[in-house]
Amino acid sequence: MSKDITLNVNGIDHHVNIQGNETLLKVLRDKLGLTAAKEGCGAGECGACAVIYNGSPASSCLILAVEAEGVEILTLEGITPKDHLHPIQQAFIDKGAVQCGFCTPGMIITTYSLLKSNPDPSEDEIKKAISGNLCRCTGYVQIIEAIREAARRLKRVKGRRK
Amino acid sequence: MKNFINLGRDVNRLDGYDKVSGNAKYIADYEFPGMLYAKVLRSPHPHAEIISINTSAAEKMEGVIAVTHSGKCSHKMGLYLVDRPVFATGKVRFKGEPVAAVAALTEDIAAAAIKKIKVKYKMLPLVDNIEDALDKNATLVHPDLMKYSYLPIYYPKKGTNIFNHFPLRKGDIKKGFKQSYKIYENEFTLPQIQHVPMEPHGAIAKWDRNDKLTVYSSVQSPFTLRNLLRLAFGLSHKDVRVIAPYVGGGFGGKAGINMEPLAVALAKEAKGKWIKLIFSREEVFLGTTVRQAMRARVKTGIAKNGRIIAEEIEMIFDGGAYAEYGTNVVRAAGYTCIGPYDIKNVKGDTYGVYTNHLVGGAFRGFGHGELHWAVESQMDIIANDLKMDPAEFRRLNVLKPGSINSMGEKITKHTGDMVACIDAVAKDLKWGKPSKKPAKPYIKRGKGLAVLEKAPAMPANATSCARVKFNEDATVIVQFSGMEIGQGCITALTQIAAERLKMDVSKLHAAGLPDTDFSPYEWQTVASRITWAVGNAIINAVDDAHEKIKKVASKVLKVKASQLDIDGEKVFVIGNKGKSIALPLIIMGYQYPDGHTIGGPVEGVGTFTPHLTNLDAKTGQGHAAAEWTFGCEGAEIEVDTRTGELKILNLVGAFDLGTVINPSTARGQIIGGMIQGLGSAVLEELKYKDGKIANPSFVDYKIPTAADLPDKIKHIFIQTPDDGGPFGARAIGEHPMISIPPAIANAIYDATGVRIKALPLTDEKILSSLKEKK
Amino acid sequence: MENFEFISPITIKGAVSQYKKGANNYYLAGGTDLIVLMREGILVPEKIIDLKTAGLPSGIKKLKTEIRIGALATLSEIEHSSFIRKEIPFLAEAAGKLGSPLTRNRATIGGNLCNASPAADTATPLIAVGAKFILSDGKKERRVKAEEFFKGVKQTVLKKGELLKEIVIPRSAGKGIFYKKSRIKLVDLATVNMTVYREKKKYRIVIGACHITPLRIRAAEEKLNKAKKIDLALINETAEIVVKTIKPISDMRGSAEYRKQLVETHVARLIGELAGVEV
Repeated sequence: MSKDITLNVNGIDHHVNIQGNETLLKVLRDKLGLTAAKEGCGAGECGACAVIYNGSPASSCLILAVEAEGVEILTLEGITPKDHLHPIQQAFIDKGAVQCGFCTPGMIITTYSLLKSNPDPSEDEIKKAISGNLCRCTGYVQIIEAIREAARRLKRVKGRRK
Repeated sequence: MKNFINLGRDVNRLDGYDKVSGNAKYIADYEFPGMLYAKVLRSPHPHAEIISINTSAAEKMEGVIAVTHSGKCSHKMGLYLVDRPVFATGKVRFKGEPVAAVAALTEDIAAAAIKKIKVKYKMLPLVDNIEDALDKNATLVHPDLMKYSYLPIYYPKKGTNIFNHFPLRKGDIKKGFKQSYKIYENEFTLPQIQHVPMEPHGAIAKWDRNDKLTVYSSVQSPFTLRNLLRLAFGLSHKDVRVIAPYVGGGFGGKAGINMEPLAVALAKEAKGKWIKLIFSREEVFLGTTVRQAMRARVKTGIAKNGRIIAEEIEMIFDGGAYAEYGTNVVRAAGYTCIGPYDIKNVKGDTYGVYTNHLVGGAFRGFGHGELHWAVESQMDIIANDLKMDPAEFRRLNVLKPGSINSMGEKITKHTGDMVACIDAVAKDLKWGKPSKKPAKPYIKRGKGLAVLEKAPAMPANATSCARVKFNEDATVIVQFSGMEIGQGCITALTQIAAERLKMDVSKLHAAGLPDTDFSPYEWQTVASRITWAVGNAIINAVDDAHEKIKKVASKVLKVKASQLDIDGEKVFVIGNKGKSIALPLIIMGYQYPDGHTIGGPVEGVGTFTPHLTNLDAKTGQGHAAAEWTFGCEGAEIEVDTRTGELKILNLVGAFDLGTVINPSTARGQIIGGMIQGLGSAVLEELKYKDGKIANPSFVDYKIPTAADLPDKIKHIFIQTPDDGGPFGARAIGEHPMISIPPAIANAIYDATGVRIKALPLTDEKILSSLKEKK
Repeated sequence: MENFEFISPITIKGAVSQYKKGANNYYLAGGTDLIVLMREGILVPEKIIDLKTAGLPSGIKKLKTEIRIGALATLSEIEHSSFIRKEIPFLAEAAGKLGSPLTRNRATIGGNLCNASPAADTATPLIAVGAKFILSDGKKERRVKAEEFFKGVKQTVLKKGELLKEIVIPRSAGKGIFYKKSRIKLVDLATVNMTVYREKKKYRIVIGACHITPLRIRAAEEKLNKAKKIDLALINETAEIVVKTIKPISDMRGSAEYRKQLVETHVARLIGELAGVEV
């Protein structure tokens, strides 16, 4: 089956022709050129393909593109501001939370969602939130520190806005 | 500690922006116009003769452009022992071995075409473990072993499954045991494990009609890949170009040559077309390499004063179906076989054997995680039996300045401070004091530690090259081909260059992603050697550039070059800073007021080759270690004795890594390695059923998540400068993984009195061991 | 993954009639299992029928005497629902231990139950709390008890095309505890899971991953329910009955013997915690 659909990604409507068996991840990467989301396992076990789907992070390898019509989708490309980095991204650099970088987009997506719903997470809450994002390089410690630092910085930004 | 301007501080990763923004491109992110997509047909059997391969139905499919198999591509590959065909030839030797491959217009077509290839097999007897392989009447996995080409530093045994035997002889082992007051003998085992880089392996290849080959690959070693591809396919180095994008983790699994020849074989059949082959996660499990399984028998003789005076150790590695790179794991484990101990009389025999298992290869630690599992469990058994404190027993016996190690190398104060590592870990664990009492009587707590050492395992001619290029504004581009696989080499090497240039690191740019047509040569990004070896090459490159600047400046300033110095901004006369030339005025050549210009663009080239020797064929004595890193790791744990549940309360690691270039990235290497070590200690195991791998996915091959972190984890830097390292730095990449398993096993013994000699230390195994003890 | 026809029915009736049109059609809810099986080539559907558009109830409703959970409620919704956390915390706990947060944001409780894995994390708390499932074939509805829903590995009482529509849980003041043992702390299949539930001094004991279905151990419940006083000896005897009743298999996640030992210790601990007896 093939179908013309409209995908709303990072606030932009994309008209694409998709096959029924194409996953959202495949369409994002191959048809929209949005390659930040990675395929690490294709089976929803590693989190490298995480995107914000309808407000929550999800593995885009386990979503059919055809299901995604009419849903708001946000990828790492959409989180990154035009001329600088998001405080989460900067915290990941500053705290040494990045090594090979392959899990990083998914980690940042999950963090983004966590800090939206829980601006001041405990260490245990962070560990649970990122438990579906595998990282083989860092041992997670500096990622957790980066998430705490990002939370502090985002609170400061919010404070200033008030 | 010296006053450094760029070292010992947390310079943010230079690849950080690319990686947090999604800008970083990995192999799967590359697309070229007209690209074809490849899929691989794999053997369903672990050992079978191939009777026939029929590809006609696949070839007839619309959209299929090329089909290949051993009938069209009979090339072999291998870094040290050339035993591995690109496609199974004559027989399949493990479940998952590539038998054929298809390139098509889409992935779906390629996948459908693969299913239409018909292969007839005839089963062969299965060599399913080390015992099968060594049996007197064993089926030979490679009857033609002696016809394969290999480097003369390896010793395959004719008419057996032994692809390498590394003997080590030191002192008089018989006399040593005769003089011993007590002798201990134990056997230890561990299973195959997978690297699990988050990025699956991939390659993109194009073979042009003029026989020029271009390959993009998720590769740790672009130049070695180039060399092995040109050997396999009969090309000249100049006609093979390897381009390396960012690599999403390697841990040894992307070293040497891997899956690239599959893409190249298809490219040869579809000339002029880009062929893209990206492995699925299942294929990463089946079709790349793994850490070899091992069985070790350790026999140790102790004098009355607690000194080890004799040790006999036999290690047998299950190298799987092909040895190629794994041959050198056997050698490296063989020459370090006794670990970091000062033992006068040693007999070591390390073997690698073929089985019908997944292919063993390079893996973080390179034989050392395996040997230390055996040795550091054995040391704990001895110390406990002697009623000696296990830390004190190690302090007494480890290598110290003046000691002679296993292969006859003399340890000096520059080699590193093993005792300081033990002391640091003991202090953090509050060694000697009992653990805090647990809440329930059936929960037991304990502490354990284990030491480690490792040197880079590499041939004596492993060499590096680096360049520094001055730009017009006196900023600098650093070029090297150490691969950024996550370890942070781009950042560390740029810091080293900046330090030698006496510039702030912000004035440098690292062209750190290699292209073999343009980048300086590098043997391989393996063995924790990049910061150390390439760092030295970079220092030489900076010195070369400085010499070139001084040469021109000496003409302009009319002094001898030796009277000049450079401070990062200008070249000046020593003792007379006023007499100087600003760098921008000289690094593109110096122009006199009349317009006449002397000199030209300044580029420095530096090389580095460690001074090593081959090891004696009979005794293993010689000099194979460019530098050693010593370390100690400790654990405090608790066990629920009713369920076997293991909880890690504290993990600590102290390493003598010499001068720390970048504390944040060094910490990342250590913590990351310790957690990978934790996975190998308590979880990870490739399981076989009837010779077939039974858990090739994340559903049943579990690695630690953030939720599995210990309550506490700590890294400790010991910084004894290495006199051969760049600014005193030495290796740290692999080491943190090595001794976590014995540290935890020793802690389990301390808590429960149960000694587990087979990894992994699963809750189930702990519980059954507790039951056995009762 | 092979291609297929994708159907978005707008009624349950439409979904069922589409499903019945072929022998190889599958319902899609969260997709977290289905898509993996399709990718591995284990399932090659002709039609995928998306239930998310078919008018099935999706939310969690608190009524006077019962709680209703739509089959399409995600495990995250259940995990984070404030009144599920308050009234049936052991169900929230079970939902929160299934897979990863990313999976739970997509996976539905209906999918988890209809998959009928013996290790389904949400099964033991629902059986223990006395839940009923409303099944619909597009025309008629019927109710079955949660404990009667599962018939075997991957087998349920659902007839061809029939759907799980809604889960009904009686509101009560009972207390339950869910326990799951897996190889890693989170994001893993259960080696064993279980719920022990107590309401008005009556116990229910349900064990998962130790039989072809999640298993309620009535003989063990009887032992507790008849007892005048629950002490350590009685708890241990009860745990023995549980272990004698279950028939675990050995697989990648643990041996039968290990499963028995885990169940024996943990079921005793759970009973002890509910009964206020130190175990």
